[in-house]
Amino acid sequence: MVVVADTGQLENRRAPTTTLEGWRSFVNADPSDLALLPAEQWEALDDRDRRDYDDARIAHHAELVVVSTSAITEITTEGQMLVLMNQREIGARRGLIVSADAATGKTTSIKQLGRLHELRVRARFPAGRDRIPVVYVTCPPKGSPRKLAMEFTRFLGLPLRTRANVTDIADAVCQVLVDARTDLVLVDEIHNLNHGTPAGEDLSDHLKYFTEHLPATFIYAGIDVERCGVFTGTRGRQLAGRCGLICTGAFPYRDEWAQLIAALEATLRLHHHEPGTLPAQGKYLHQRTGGMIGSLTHLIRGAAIRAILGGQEALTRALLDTVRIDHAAESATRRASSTR
Amino acid sequence: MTLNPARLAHFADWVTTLPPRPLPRTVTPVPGEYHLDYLARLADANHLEFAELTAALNDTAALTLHSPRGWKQHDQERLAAAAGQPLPRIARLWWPDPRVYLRDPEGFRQMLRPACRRCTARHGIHGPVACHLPPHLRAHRELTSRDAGSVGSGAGKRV
Repeated sequence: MVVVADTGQLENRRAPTTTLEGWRSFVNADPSDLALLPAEQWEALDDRDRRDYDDARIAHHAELVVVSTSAITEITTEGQMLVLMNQREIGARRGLIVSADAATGKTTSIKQLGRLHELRVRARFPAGRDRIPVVYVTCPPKGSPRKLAMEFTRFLGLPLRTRANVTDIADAVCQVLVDARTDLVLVDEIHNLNHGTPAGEDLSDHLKYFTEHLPATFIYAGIDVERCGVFTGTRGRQLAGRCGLICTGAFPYRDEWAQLIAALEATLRLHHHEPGTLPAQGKYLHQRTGGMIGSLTHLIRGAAIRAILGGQEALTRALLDTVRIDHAAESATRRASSTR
Repeated sequence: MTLNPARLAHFADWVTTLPPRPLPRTVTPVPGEYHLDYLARLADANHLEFAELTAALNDTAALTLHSPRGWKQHDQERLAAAAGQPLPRIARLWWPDPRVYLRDPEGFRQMLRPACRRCTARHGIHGPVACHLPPHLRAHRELTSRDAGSVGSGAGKRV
């Protein structure tokens, strides 16, 4: 019998990265390195082995492949530089805000920064297993200070639900994070913070409490941060004065787009796929996805899984046409074709 | 660990039977350490009140299902999950029957002795650790006050 692949991949569901266990499993997870079987061995597989092999390949394509784009490089470089600069800072620490449209890779970028930093800390302090170098939380919608504090306690797994006083909760969180030598805090969905509303002001004040009580660098990410009220009012101006802003967006139809597609094509594990087919469809892919990396990866991964299930084992234009992607990209494509 | 061991009908009831999440920080258990002393050290390391930690570990539903022996095993499994420590280490803590304390609180206190400071310091523990150490057990001569006197250095004096 031929051992074709680890069939347990689909069973390995990960905890969300907004919990410490989920974050650690994200940091520990190596990129999938599934190898294609030689053609004759693949054709000789019996039904059971073929099903297991296909399941393993589907799991491989279902996993988000991280391609190092210019945006990821810029965010990780800036982020690491800020961590280094803030390590001796005792006053106001500088932060970074990543702003862009949806599906442009903001969350992926800041998570990659966090993963890189945590791996670096682990390499430097191999005995420091009780360290928590990175915290990843999301800004709660219509958030209150209590909700924000609970996001931190949820990440850490601290059973503090019975405490009524939000300052008590925040204080315990800060003490644990100081003990655990946390030096990078990633706050996603910062667009939920609207300084134009009293609730948003409360939430902002509490976020500032964390920035002042934790000797850590804060990195924020959100959709259209410049226009959603984050920089409004006194608090907004203060935040703007402490944080740099990096705007990511859709990829223009240029060289980097072609490189991105070629990098994604290299991760495909299909038996009849001819290398170079996808870069040749670069313009079509740009029209379909509007240059959004999230839509592009979804389209290619979806088509690859269909190619395995349907037995085509190659990505073609006809197959790509059958994959439904996000509504924003689909409607942009429809608008563009109707105006032609 | 069994989920919903008492087969409770309402989610709000059986959700407390879910295994507790690991706490962000752990402390090394010392063999023979009184388990409530270990809980206090664990709570302190995580800046929790003792009652907050015991409430999070408490699984009252398990009482209805397990015999006292099984109940202890269940408690040990839950503490191991929360502390992020292997179950055998947690099982090596001292888990006395609560009736022992209730019968003779003063005698119970006398059964607790501080662990050897040199041994605990090796695990990064710098405070006193209350252990159940039978008088006949003398792995280190400085464990008992008699031996501490014979050593003469005072290094083994109880904290």
